[in-house]
Amino acid sequence: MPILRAEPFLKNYYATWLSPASCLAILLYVGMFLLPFIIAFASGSFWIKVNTFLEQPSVVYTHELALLLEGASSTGNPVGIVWSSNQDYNDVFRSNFRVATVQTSEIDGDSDGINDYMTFDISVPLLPTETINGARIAFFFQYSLSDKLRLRMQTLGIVSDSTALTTPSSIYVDGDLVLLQRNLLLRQDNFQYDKPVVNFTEARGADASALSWSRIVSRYADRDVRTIFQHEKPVWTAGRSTTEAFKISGRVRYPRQAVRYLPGLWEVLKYGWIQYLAYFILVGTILHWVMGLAYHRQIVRTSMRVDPLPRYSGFKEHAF
Amino acid sequence: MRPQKQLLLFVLVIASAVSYVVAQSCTCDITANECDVNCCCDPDCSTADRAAYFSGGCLSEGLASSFNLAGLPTYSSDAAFEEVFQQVHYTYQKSVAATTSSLVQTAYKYGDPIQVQYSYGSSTLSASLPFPGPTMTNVCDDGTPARFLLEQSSACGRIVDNATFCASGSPFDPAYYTGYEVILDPATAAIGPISTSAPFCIASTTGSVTACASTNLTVPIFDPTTNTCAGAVMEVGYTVTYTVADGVAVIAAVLAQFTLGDAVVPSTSSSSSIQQRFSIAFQDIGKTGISTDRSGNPGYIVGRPIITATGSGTPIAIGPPITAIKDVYSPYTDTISCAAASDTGNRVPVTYGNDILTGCTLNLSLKDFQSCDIIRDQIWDLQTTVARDVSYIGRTGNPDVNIANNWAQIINFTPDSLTGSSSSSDPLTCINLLTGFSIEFITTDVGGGASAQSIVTGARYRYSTGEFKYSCTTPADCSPTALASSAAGNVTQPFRITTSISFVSLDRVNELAMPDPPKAFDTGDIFYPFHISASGARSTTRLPRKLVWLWAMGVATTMEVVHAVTA
Repeated sequence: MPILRAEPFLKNYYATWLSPASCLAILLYVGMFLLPFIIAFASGSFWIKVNTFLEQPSVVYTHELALLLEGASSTGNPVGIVWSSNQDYNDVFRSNFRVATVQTSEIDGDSDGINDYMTFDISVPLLPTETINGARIAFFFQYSLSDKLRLRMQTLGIVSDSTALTTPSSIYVDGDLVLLQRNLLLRQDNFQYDKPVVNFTEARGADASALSWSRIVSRYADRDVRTIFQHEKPVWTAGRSTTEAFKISGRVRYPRQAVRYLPGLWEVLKYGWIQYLAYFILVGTILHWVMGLAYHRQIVRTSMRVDPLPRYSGFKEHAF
Repeated sequence: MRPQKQLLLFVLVIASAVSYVVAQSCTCDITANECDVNCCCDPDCSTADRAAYFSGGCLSEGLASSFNLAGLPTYSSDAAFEEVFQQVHYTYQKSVAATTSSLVQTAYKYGDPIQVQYSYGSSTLSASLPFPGPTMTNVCDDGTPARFLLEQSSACGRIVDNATFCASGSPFDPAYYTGYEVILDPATAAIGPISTSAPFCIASTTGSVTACASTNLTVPIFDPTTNTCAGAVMEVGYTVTYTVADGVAVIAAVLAQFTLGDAVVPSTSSSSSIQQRFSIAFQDIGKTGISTDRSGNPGYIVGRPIITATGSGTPIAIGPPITAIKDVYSPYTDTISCAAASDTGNRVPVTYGNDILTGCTLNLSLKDFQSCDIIRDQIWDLQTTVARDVSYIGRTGNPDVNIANNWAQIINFTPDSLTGSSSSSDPLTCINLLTGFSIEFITTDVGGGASAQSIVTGARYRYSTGEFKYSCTTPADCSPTALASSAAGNVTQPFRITTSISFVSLDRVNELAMPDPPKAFDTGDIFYPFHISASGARSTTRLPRKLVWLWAMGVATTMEVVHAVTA
């Protein structure tokens, strides 16, 4: 005859409250719940304090840029050429100002609604006697994240390079706009930097050096969250014809970024719980076995009673 | 046999064959018959040597494996040697290649260098048709060939460092580009000359290009007082005509169109560079009908010109491409100023998807302010020279002039004051000038992914009126000598006008808006583990919106069809 169903009888161990057996039971039960926490906590990273997610930011070039070309004239005098998209800024540097032609386009290569890169092509007319050896360009962007938290900020991407070539005609630069964070982002709205990086109205203010490059760069570096334009060393081309304009071209790519953020309460508790539970299974199994050993072998004295046989009430009339 | 045993046997066999043992050896004795300094085990060193100039301790005696050369493998067969080299790919051996003539002896195919032939006595020398262009530097490299059916254009500089740069046979002499004959078909070695058409001349003051007074091509003439090389080659445009018969392409003729101008250098004693331009186009004379360039088929391609049409009420004919102002250096005035409206080569082409901010400089003297109407008209002309003539733009890259919905009418309300006569109460102020001109486009993408097509939905001209006022920025601007009536035409001030071109995509308007707060329950990510491989490149949470639209449109169309059928 096959066994159709097995039902165990329980062995119940009894002892008075003030007995070694009760003390052991209390000790083991407390240990069973406390030990996993102590082990998990002591082995480190119990409370998760940093987490990351990947997201392609939504970057928009704000159609603002500032440009400085430096070099020397054929007689050795310094040449500094300034251009920006802001009229106030241009007015401040009127004596060094030159009209540039700027062409930009933002390309969404995979048509997913997020721009993938921006190309730029800048041409600055020069006198035949002028030679440009240094170029500094600042592009302004609006940078947003929205997957796990909301971040929106105005940022800068700067190219700054110089060369020893005698008559360079162009410079090409290509790289990534990379997120730089000193602190963790919070899982809330991070809009504290959603304001212009450079306040061009300062051009009309009392502080004449408010819009100097060093001030712009240092004020930007004060920020805890910002972007940098990370690129290979720009490529300069030698040899410029007398009537030719100086050209600056390149590409700013907006890659997918790993963003570090401060996990919220439920995320912290979840990771803690997973670790606690893992140790609880291990510790609980061991202590359960220890407990069984102690009572079964009567290492601590207890009285034991087996469950009585359930009352059997004979045949049921409606049984099949 | 078990692998361990196999290995043991192999080691034993090798050991017995080579039978090397490690032994003491005088490894510092590396000069025969001469004492190596500080090498105490060198038998060439006498005790006297050691005492005389050895300093410091002895160099250590090394351990060297002693071996039997007879037992080592040798490679006398080329095949066995090559087998070893075949296994190692990364050697310099690959960089040593046999040099052969790259000129083909068969009929021209796309990309083959066009061949030319130079005469040397009774024999000939073959080469490829030089198509100068910048290579590593911006200096013209004549070594790059013109390639069959490859339309190209280039601009590069010719170095000028002596007064003979303009002489006969120099790159500024048209003969430099015609001193050889073209091989029309390498298979048959048929040849023909490079023919020339009547040259164009660049007007020295305005920069506009017109047919030269003389149709002859002559050696340019150098004027040492102004350092000017008059009649120098500034541009060469080749047109290659060809026929296709029996599956073979044969060049019919090569026509060179020269554009001559004045090459002005600051000095012939120091090095400078003059820019030349080159272009080459191909034409199948067997085909009738004129080929036209599309800017995409059907949607626009970024970087291609915006297609325009003229006409009022309905588009009548394809118009010229819109261009914008630009500053250029003029050697005649030695200033940087606006390129003339007629100087199309020095204007910025308006192309799809390219946002442009450009401008140019007018150098105006006090005297010029007495005739503001001339300035007003000049600025109007510079800003709107092409734009005012066109009234439609193609919504796609391949619009048909006969189909009205292929075109969008440009929204254009021209203020009347920007042309004609108007004067300010201040005689040194010119008012109602078109200092800012904007051309704006609204675009949209239809479809998603790789098949998305870019469509222009509308265009608008915007006019910003401004004024010029002669100001005393520096004392020199308004010194008594500068303001003297005789000098008033000599002192100029720069005045700027700007043009902007903007493309706004309807699909990107959302990108500027504040993003929605992140979702606590991101449904897009629920089945993430099952599409890990697909999400490697980008975030999974952003489903292609376009695909959703396509799907929605598909559903809508289907419902419409069902409705029509059932009704």
